[in-house]
Amino acid sequence: MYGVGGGFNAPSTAASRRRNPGDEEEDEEDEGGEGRVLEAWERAYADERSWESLQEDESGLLRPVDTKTLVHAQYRRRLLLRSAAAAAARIQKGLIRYLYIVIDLSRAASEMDYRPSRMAVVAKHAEAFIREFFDQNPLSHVGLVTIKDGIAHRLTEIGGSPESQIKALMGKLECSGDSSLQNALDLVHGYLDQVPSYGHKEVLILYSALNTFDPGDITETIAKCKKSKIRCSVIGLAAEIFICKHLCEETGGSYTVALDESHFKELLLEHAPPPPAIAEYAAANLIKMGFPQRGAEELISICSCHKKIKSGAEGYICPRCKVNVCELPTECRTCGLTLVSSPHLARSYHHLFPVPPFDEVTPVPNRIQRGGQICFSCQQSLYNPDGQSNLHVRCPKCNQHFCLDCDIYIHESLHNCPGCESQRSIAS
Amino acid sequence: MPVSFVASIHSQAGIDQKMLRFCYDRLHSLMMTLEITDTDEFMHIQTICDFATLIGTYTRGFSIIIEPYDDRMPDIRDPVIQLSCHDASLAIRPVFDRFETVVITSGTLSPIDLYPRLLNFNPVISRSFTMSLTRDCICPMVLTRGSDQLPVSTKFDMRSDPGVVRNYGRLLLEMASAVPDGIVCFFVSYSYMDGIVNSWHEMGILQDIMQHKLVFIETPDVVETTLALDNYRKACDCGRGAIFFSVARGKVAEGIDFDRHYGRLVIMFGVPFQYTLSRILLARLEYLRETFQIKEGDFLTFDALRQAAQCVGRVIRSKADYGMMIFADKRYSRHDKRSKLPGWILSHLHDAHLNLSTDMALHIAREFLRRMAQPYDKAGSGGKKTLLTEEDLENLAQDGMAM
Repeated sequence: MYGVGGGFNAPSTAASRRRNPGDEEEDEEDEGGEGRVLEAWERAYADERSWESLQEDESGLLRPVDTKTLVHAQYRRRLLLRSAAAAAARIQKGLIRYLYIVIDLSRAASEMDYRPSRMAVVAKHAEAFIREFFDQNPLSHVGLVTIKDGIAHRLTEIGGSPESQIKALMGKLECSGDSSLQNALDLVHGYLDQVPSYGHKEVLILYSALNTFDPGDITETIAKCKKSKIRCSVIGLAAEIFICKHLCEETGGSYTVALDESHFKELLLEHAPPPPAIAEYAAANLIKMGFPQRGAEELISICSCHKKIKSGAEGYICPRCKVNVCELPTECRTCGLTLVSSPHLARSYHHLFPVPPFDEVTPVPNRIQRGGQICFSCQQSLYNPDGQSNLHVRCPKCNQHFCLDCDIYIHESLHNCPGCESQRSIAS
Repeated sequence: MPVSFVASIHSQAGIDQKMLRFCYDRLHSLMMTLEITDTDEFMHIQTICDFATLIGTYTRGFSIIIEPYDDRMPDIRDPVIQLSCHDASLAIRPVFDRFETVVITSGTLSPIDLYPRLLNFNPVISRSFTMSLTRDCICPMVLTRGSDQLPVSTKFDMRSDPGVVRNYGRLLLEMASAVPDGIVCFFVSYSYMDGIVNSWHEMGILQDIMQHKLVFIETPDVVETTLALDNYRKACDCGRGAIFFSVARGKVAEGIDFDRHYGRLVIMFGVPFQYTLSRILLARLEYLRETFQIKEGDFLTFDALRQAAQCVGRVIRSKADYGMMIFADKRYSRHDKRSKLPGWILSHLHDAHLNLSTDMALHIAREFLRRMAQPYDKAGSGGKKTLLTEEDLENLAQDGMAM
């Protein structure tokens, strides 16, 4: 679809870029939020093989390859991979994560091989990632660190609010100087060392540069991170670097290199679901948490995070020390209690009990299968107008059939199988 | 010629050929009898005895070259006697005499039909294999032009042209910014390397390169070179990145591997022809023409390309490894030169990579490095099997028997 479409709607996208080069939103809209697809003239013609994304139909007309089945096949592969890993051992997941995102803003970040520049692409997707991360890990905390002129600088404190992080990142977008992996690791190590032992300490480094200018021996720093059980992952933007690979292997993180912008986005979002817990932490321990309530309307108090006078309805009251906080989840400034709301806990739940992958049902022509006419979830027909059944899937537990769109929706967003749930409600 | 040399020794010193021939054995038994263990101290007399035995034994295939002056300082008398062997078949003959089956294998035996002539034997089978790789992990390129589209070459009349020097410098600079970890550069000679590094320094290119990577240089001194290599490896290990400048036919080109991150890219600046005015080379060319009917040009090209292949082959030592090779000279795009490269390089040298300019090469390099950084299936699924199991081997053997 994009192989062909990208060429035709090109003038409009180009025009929008010219009109307002800084406006990322507009670009997103033009390209349907799918990430930027290379324009026809930007691609190496021999490598892309755009002609292969065309196929001939019965009457000899050219039409693009059925992207829907392709996308679905890709998604199934990912899903099966994930569930296979989960099935191999009942993996404990680190649900309470303390993640520092390190963004390299050295000279190399101004390179133009990603358009408009590596830095802009990284910032754009980091923003999307932070939102997605909090969506999937409501109990977790994120902080931002930048590397610039060979010095690592903490942009934001580790915290639970996506908005403040994104705001801080977007305000500081300029790049210069060298980059230093060791300085960044040292800084992050200093902060993460204080994190309570039940939290999973992670660093995600978005690295544009191809080298690192370090003041000392980086292998010592890596050993230090390993000792404090900080999981370091790196996403490179240009090529594989030995020291990054070494760092990830030592600390149990993942090292990936992006091919292009859409691949970069994909790699980044892979870090959103919680990683398997490190074996040493597998012993379960109880964590004290508070479930604060919204304050009453007439109660006026000073919130502990912004030091501003607020009415009770704008914040939550810590159940232990009765202090007012604005956002959840967070840690109480006064008594140090972890404050969450029950929906946050519930949203983390599906990582532990995922919906099993559905089986594919091969289309059988000219035979009506029982219960196979409509998708159980969206109630649309599973048949083409010409009487042939489309490719669709079946839940192995309740044997209900679903269309491909619903399959993706159930596994990616809903995290519950409608068939199984309705059976349960009937049984009870 | 050794014959006349022996004759003049006989007439002037009264030592005949037979006496010369046994010098080595005599010294050897003398030292055994005296139970001398510290052989280092007798190194020089051993050299003289070896020399005497060689000229006493062989009448053909050698020549003695006496150079009264050093080329670099023609005013100072500095006589050197050199005994040079022109005939590689002499060295291999004992092997052929002693064994019934001899298998010669190498990664740089090409063109393969020249070797039987040089070594003076008739091969029963001669085969050139391509490499079986799980993925396209080598990326040879022929770079003929700089970014300004002017040709680059180390041909004698072009090598000191500032445009060529600048284009070579820009090439290295661009590559240093796009390639991670280690880069190895080979130059055609020490004097050329000295000259071009000096010019780069004056143009400020070297300083720009140093912003990306540290630069290490091979020298004729072994200790210095070892130290440089050591530090080069350290710089690659710690992520700083480094470039090693080396010379084709030097110590590094012959025996040091730059595998994995120690060499992600090798650039061969120019075609490493031998110094054609050297007396030894002239004598050898004459001998080859008279004895084996090998044309001078053929031998020189063959020798240069073999050296080039030897140099670039340093970066890839296993299937899991990957590396790029840039042949930076317009002469490599000519068919007569290119076709003499070994098959494993030629099979990966796409037509689109034969006539590149610096910016095109940079684009290809970036793409290649990103592709290679992706995780891959080591077992080689998808019908491209590169590692045979025991079963496969048995099947192959049975197939062979059936045929």
